[in-house]
Amino acid sequence: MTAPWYRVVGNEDAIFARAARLTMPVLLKGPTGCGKTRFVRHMAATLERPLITVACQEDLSAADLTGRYLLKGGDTVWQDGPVTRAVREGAILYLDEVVEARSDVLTLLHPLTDERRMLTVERRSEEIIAASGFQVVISYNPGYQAAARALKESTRQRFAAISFDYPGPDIEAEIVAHEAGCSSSVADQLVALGRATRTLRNHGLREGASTRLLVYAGRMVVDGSDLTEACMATLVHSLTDDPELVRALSDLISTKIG
Amino acid sequence: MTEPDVNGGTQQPGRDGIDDEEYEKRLLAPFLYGAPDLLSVEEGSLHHAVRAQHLKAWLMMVTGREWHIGSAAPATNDGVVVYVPPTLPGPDEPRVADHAYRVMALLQAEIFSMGFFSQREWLRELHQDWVLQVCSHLLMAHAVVARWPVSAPGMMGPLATVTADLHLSELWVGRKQVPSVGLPAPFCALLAGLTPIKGAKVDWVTEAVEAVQSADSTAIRLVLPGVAQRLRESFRSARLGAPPVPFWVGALHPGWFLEDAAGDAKRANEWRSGPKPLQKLLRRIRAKEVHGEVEPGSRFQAPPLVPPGTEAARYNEWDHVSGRYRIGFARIIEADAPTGPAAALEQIIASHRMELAAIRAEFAALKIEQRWLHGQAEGSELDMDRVIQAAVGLRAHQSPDPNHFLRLQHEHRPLAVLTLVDLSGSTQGSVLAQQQRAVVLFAEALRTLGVVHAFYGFSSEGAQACHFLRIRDWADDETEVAKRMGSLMAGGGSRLGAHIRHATAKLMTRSEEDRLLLILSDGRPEDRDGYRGQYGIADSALAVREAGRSGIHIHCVSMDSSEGAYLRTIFGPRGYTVVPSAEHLARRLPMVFRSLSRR
Repeated sequence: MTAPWYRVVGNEDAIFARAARLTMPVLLKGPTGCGKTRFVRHMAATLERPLITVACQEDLSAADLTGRYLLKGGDTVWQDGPVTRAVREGAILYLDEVVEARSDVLTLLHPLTDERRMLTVERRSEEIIAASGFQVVISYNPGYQAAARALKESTRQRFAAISFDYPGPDIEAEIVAHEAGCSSSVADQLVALGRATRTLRNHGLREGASTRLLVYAGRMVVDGSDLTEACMATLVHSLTDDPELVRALSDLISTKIG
Repeated sequence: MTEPDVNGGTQQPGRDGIDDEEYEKRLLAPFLYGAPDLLSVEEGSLHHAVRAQHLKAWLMMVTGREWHIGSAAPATNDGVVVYVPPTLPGPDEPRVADHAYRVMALLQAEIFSMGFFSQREWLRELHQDWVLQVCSHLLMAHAVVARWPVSAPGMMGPLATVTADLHLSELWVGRKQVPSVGLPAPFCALLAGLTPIKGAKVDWVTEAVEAVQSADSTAIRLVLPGVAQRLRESFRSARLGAPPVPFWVGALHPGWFLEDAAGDAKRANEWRSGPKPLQKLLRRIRAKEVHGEVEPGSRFQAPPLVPPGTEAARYNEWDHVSGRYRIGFARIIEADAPTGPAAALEQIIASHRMELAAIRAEFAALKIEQRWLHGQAEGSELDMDRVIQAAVGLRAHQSPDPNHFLRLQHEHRPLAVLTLVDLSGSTQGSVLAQQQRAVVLFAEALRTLGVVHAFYGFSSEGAQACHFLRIRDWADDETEVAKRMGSLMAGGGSRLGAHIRHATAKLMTRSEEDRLLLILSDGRPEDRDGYRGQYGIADSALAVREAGRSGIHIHCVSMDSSEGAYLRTIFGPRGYTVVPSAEHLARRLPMVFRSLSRR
């Protein structure tokens, strides 16, 4: 399996590889759509480990993670949850947007993220020692309103952290051009627009346009869309509902593109 | 003594033997150095206010930095605010207006970002020599718009609209429109491209314009003195007075930058040289001896009264008379509230056992915990007992009970409450004691509810010293809190608007879904330097609206039973509760919380 494309910006790949070698859990933080998930997929493939991803949300329960009994015919059958599977297979377990999950649920990760490397499945009265290669990776977005939903200190202090942000204009344009398959001049224009919207972070917008949205715009252009139309479709209404800001964003696009 | 006019030009009236330069200055002073016309956004110009909001967002994105939008005619900027005219000359056409506002705002912002305004000698030259000022302004405009085809191609359409519009290109000297006839040829050449005026080609002007358009912005400095000198000569010989500027190009105000910097330096110096009365005053304020006016004889507006180890933040203040924000006018100084013995608090608790018990009972009923509901038809988890029963039932060939799920009941949404306690001078004596009891009861209620909460006290001594006293921050140690809570002291005024804005900023850092700002008050927002009556009410009311827009709920509990019309104006008809005494809080508080949870 070839690794998904990822443009290394700093030393994040070296740090991740080192943490993997040391079986150290890793925390990735950064704004939405800046490449955290892509990075994990890339690293899993590079390190030749299976990757199991869990998108965290508020209703995620311990059973969703460890597993549960299901009814099958007249019998009850145990089904492993993603954490249990990852522990047995020695996979990278990736919990995306981890702060969305309730913090009491996350405490079940604690014995897995220290030297015990052990998962307790209460319903089965089973204790599983993680296979070698098992590694926990979590991600979250600290940008949203400064103090944001915080991770419990007892959880976050178990992780080596890698901080992400939108890359500089040249690299971001390279990424957009690669991902969307568009020309570098289109990518440059999209990145300039994206960076302009990030000026309004905390001035009306929670966040500016993500690299992901810029890639969407680029793909629309490659598919034959007019640049203005593609930007209007991807960079305006997805960022805000406020009519004044919608108008300002539309004006920005017409100003910069002409 | 009248000097004969040697040049033979037309004699201007009122020229009593002063030299040309002085005459020029007098002629122009009223035009050039006036303050901008300010506009009331409140009355009849909502149209403009809405436009300003979207213009601001657009301008920030295009320029990549923060700007405020203000109103003044003609357009100008002071490095923080871009001022645009409230109305435009000519017929009101939305498309033209939209184009004109964008062109004017971006031009002003980019002229500032060329960086000349930080060069003081240059500013001084511009300030003293308005021919130089107008010439450099026009050359800067040329330089800015020449970059637009690349940096903002979408501006070319609006620019064409504006430069071709006869009304927007009207020539103005300061705040007065002047006819465009009789201008010297070189000046017409300088205006070409910015206005519909066409003049004979003047080579040295064309060269100068091309130089600033093609080279980097510092080229303007090299080109300017020569151009200005030659233009000055042509203006002098034609006895024309001030060179005009097209309306949309706006005005430069080097004096604003000079004055401001000079003022800052002066204040800093005064503070450094350390006049003893000021130091003494500072010590007394720290010791909480002084609460009212600054001593008579102290001429200082009090900016540097920030005791070490405290934090200061600035907020805008709404001036309802001029109809605009005073940018960064009020300064919040955050510090720990003074501590006293913890026993003071215990005493209050001991003497209010009944009220506290009532509050606990009321609030315990309000508090709903997360819990698993068993035997549900739908849910996120299987209810194992029910499942096994069902499995057994199946084997016994009975139809199983389908209700075998567990469901987590979500009820109260996470809530963060910041309580602001009015510690202004009016809160003395028995009122302060009431306030104190109210705080203690509040705190107990919040603790019972298990709600994330913080307590801050507020008082102020003018816009520059709005005190924000930490009684309890979100996660403060309770023993420290007890020492502070039992020893509240009052004094000074209440600049409510600034305090609401600071409290809003604090609440905005919380991630809880519901964020509530409770204000425990006993009277009108009143402070020194004019913060009273309608001014204080209007600013506070606007601060409440701003908070509302940020998703913060505000409720005021007032012990001012005298006359409540101002409370209604500030907090809205349902945004406040009047209680006769602290003890009544026990009955009213749960209602406040219930009404909040119904939203």
